[in-house]
Amino acid sequence: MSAARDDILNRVKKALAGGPPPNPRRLPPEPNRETRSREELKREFSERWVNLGGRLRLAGSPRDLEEIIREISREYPGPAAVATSALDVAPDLKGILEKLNLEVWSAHPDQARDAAFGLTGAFLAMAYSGSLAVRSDPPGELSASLVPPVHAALVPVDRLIYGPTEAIRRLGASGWPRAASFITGPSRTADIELNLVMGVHGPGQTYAVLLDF
Amino acid sequence: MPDKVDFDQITRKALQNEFLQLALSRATGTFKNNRTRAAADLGYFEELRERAKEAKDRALLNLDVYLPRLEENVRARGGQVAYARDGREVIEYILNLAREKGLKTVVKGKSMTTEEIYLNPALEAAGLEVMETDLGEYIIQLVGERPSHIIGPAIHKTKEEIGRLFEEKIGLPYTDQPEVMTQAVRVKLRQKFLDADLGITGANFAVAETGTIVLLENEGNIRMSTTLPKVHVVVMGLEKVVADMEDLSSLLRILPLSAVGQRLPSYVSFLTGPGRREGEGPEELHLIILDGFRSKVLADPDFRQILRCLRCGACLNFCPVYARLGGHSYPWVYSGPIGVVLTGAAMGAEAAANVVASSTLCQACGQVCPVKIELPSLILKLRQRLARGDRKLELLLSVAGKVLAAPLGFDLAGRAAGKASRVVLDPDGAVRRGPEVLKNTGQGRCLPRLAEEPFHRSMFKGNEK
Repeated sequence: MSAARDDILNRVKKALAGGPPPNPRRLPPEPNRETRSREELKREFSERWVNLGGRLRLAGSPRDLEEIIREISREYPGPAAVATSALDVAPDLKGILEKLNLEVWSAHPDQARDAAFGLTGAFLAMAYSGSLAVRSDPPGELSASLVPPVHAALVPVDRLIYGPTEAIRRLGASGWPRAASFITGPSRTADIELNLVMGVHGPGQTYAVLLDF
Repeated sequence: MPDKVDFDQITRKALQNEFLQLALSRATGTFKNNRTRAAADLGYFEELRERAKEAKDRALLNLDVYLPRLEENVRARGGQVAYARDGREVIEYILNLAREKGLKTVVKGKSMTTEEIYLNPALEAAGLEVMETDLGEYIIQLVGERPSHIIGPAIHKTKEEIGRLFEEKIGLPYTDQPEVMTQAVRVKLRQKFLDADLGITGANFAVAETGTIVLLENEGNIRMSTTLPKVHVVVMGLEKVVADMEDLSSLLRILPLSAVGQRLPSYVSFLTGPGRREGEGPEELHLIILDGFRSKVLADPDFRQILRCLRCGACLNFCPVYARLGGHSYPWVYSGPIGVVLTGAAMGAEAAANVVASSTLCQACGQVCPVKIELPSLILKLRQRLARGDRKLELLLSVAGKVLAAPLGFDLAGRAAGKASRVVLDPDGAVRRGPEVLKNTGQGRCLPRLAEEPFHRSMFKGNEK
């Protein structure tokens, strides 16, 4: 295979020899389009998230959070696959889960596959597209946000930012994690005569729970 | 190798297929409208196009720097990198890996590059079980067809056809409800994801600076294929490399906007090296960098720009010819205007002759391409290359050029053409008589009769009066 490598790189070099100057003119840097107030970020994120079929909940206190978890577990009864990041962003969650008598499972795919819903934190949320970012370093965040039929992400409001440029900068700020994903609404397809169907391989229902306390 | 298709027969069938015509106009219409609305809503789409084009050019014109850099950074994170001169070497690599590690079952994410090298049949022939997991790809894998659109591989299938297909192949009681069919596939493939030994995907982008593979999708099957199996193989064309994360940001925004009018798709995955923890992530990551036709096209100064292509499908959606013919009328896995040009550049103009001739040169593809590939002029270039090989046509055009350059020749030719059009054309405008070359090009077309008196004559007459 290293013969293939040398061959290909030689062909590439030969193809480029005598071509136009190697560095095309760099456009002036992109103007910063990503400055927004907290309120604007909340409004734009919420609008886009809901438009794409996600559900939005606001928790102004631990009591609110308890109500929201109760509501979700009523609609989707059964065990919850909980990633540690959910407990990190909301220290009250542990008590809430106990109080509601919810069965808490690990986010390991072998368990998460049979859970009623997955609970995670989120590294950040983007107003530009109504997206969340999850990563591989908090254990279970990838599986709990992917494998169960429903995903609920707890997002502290100070993690709201505007766009992908800033999101990418933050994701890589201390070295890229093994994996990271932007999540924008439920899993979807339109492959059969353009009919929109939610929940193909990922969750068919997604909650963003904004924590403001 | 291009597929063998009888162009006349296949296009006639496509044009007479009422469902196909409806499906094509609905699909391309929806994609077009969504793209147009989203581009306007963004407010700086044209600027973003310029940035996206520059980002791709920067990488392409410095491939000799960025490919080794990508390789180095993927290795630094524990990934393995291989180069493949052609599809055969990709297949060999994967089969060796499968033998070595005892990998038997494969889940696949949608990838045009693996379609291009006919990966699935080769792996299946060697005894591997290969499951396409994108719903559209899954459907066409069951029927044994190739994708008819980059973004919507199965847009040419009716829900009734798919219902009958699922009844026959996966035992789902007949239904024409997309929700029910989708749910059945979810259940069936879930087990496959959990059991699979190997996940194979393409790559939308590979960032040299960090060694990160970037993949966009809506269904979640690519996240599943890259999270659950213990081995992940990425097959990417060498043109997918981008310099850094800043360039990626422009490309990441423009691709889903151009494809379907989304700001971002449901999932964008950034994969940097292997690593498995609590059942998540592959133990091994293999990146296979494919050349195929790419270095050859890079050496062609006219056509080099087509390596910018992001495979968004916008040029298909805006093409009036694609919207009537559908993807299966094109000679290769790539269809629409970009398919014409890729086929012509990779395999020679002759391989694309039929679809080159079918172009209307309406310019729409060039106006919407997110990386500003000059598709209309490249299609014209292919026409020139085809004509250049045609001795008779060359002779005809060089004689015609000399005759028409002289005022007397121009006058005589104009009058002769007026007379001749009365002989050659039927009253309905069809060409049914006359020399072979006219009958060939005129077949299926209606032409207006030319004026008996050329314009330059009547014009002067008018002045004299």
